[in-house]
Amino acid sequence: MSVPYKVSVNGEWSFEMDAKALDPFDMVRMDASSIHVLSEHQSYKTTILASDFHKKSYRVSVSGKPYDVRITDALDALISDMGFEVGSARNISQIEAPMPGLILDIQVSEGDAVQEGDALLVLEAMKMENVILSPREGVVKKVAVTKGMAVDKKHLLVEFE
Amino acid sequence: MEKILVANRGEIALRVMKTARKMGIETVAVFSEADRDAPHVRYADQAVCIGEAPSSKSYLRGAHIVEIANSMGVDAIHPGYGFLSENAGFAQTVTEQGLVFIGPGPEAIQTMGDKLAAKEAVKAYNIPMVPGTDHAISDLDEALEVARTIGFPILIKAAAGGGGKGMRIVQAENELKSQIQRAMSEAESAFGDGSVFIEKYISSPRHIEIQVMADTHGNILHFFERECSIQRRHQKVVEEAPSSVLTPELRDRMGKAAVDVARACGYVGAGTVEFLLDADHNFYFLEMNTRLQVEHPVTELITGVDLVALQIRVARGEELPMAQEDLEITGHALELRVYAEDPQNDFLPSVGTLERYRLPEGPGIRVDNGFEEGMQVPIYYDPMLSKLITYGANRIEAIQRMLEAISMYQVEGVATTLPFGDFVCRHPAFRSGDFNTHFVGEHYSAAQLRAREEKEARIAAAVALKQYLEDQKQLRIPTEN
Repeated sequence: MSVPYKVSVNGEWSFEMDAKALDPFDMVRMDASSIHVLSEHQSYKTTILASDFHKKSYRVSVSGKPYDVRITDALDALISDMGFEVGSARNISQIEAPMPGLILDIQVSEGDAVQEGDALLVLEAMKMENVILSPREGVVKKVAVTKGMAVDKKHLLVEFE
Repeated sequence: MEKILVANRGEIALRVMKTARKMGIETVAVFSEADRDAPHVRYADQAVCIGEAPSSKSYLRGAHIVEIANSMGVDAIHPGYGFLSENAGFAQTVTEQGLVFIGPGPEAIQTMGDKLAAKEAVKAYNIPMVPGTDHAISDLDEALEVARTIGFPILIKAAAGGGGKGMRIVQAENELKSQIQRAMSEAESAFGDGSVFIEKYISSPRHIEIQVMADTHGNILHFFERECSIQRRHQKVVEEAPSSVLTPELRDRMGKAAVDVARACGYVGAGTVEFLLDADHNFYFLEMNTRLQVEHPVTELITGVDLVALQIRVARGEELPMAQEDLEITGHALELRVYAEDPQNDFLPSVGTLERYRLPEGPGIRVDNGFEEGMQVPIYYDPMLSKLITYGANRIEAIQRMLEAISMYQVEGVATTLPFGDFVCRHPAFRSGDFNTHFVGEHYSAAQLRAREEKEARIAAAVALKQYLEDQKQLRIPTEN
């Protein structure tokens, strides 16, 4: 019996795999963390940089480049489908700067009710203007920046009630 | 000369200071408020904050920098590249204030900074130039006449324009009239001036430049060529020396032409004369850059010369310590500019924090670097993190070493041009030496990079799953007992 897994990498790729799907990969363990892989006769040196068995998350470097891998099994998929997953968009209470930049304009103020997709503010980074949209419906509790302010990545921008 | 102020930041500030220190010269760094934690600030013997983060309020404040230099007892100012390096007014102020400007005189900067003045200056030396008009044309009949004399393909440029706007390429006689008319009316509506320049269009050009160095005793040497044809957005990303297509005879002719260009403008110090080389290996003078170039390290590696040391010696009034016959090319060097930009997204800048930043090391690997792990890539300046330079006994060895160095170079937090460098070094056109400035347009697509990444992602997925299944087994063993 082979359990199918969904294996996602860097949040960008998603592969359906089970134990059998590993067969075409010729993997030889070199030591506790290094595995040499032959795939279609191509040689890859890989290292497991970090692992968390309970969260099913692994960090693997392939030819020197790191990849974040998350494995989900049928049960995880079911939980996620039913919406019981923690940390979904609805629960976001804080908006942080996705990159360092300059606050060009602010479209909301404290107490405003906003819909999902409403423009909150404009962040300029590397000469490009990025409109930060609201990920949820809600009421603005706090605007933590002012116009003209330079912010670092992850700087708090807006807080929801 | 006992103390030098470096009016720059990042890797080039460090590069200059390292040589100065080797020569027993004290160094002064200048920095903006955004750069307090930058390595060049700590490397220098003294450092002064010169203003707010935007370069117009710090690194471009020439008069302010000169004032600081004077108050710090500095003897000379090295401008690096970019910022004030090609600002004739700055060079003038430095000299007027009794300091030494490590670079050419303001007149030479002025002349070479103006395309028409530069062409005029080199006229007497018979330097080959792209055939074309030396004045703006606004009469249709004259334009047609000129185009026919030059021969096809031709390039039409708006005289008042710049940055590629209003440029048209005409391949054959039958489209000539309509294209010139359209170019003129386009120029008229865009710039309020309908006149155009017409020149021969070099269809598959290579960008070849010659490093020159002139002292104040009338000696001008050339340090051979650099090939800089791999460009994106008309900016260089991969450079090498020597070029794979120059014969010793052609190298000699181009070198002599470059020396003549330097002589034409009374040049002093390090400079670079840029040429276009067409498919038939005819070369044409493009422009002269009156400063140390970003890509100067490849020249240093193949000639064994420290160009910054020579700049300083020339600025001290010394005679160049070698003759042209003493210079020769040994081996091959390659440079990749490691920019914080995303080659999968049109090479757009990718800003953020360098969550992991480890440089490659090993024989034949040089990294001119300006960043450290944990630092942010500031949004205010050029997003170049470092220059990765490799050296080998021959071209293929330098390329292989580059591939190895790229795989050792660890950057997390921002996207970089490293995967693009890997792509270039594996591409058959680059490896064979058969490429031109259209390399990126003709051979590169983000999809190819993506496909390679997807392969690796699949490997990562397989390895992680294998590990997970093994971890699972291990956990089960105790419960089965």
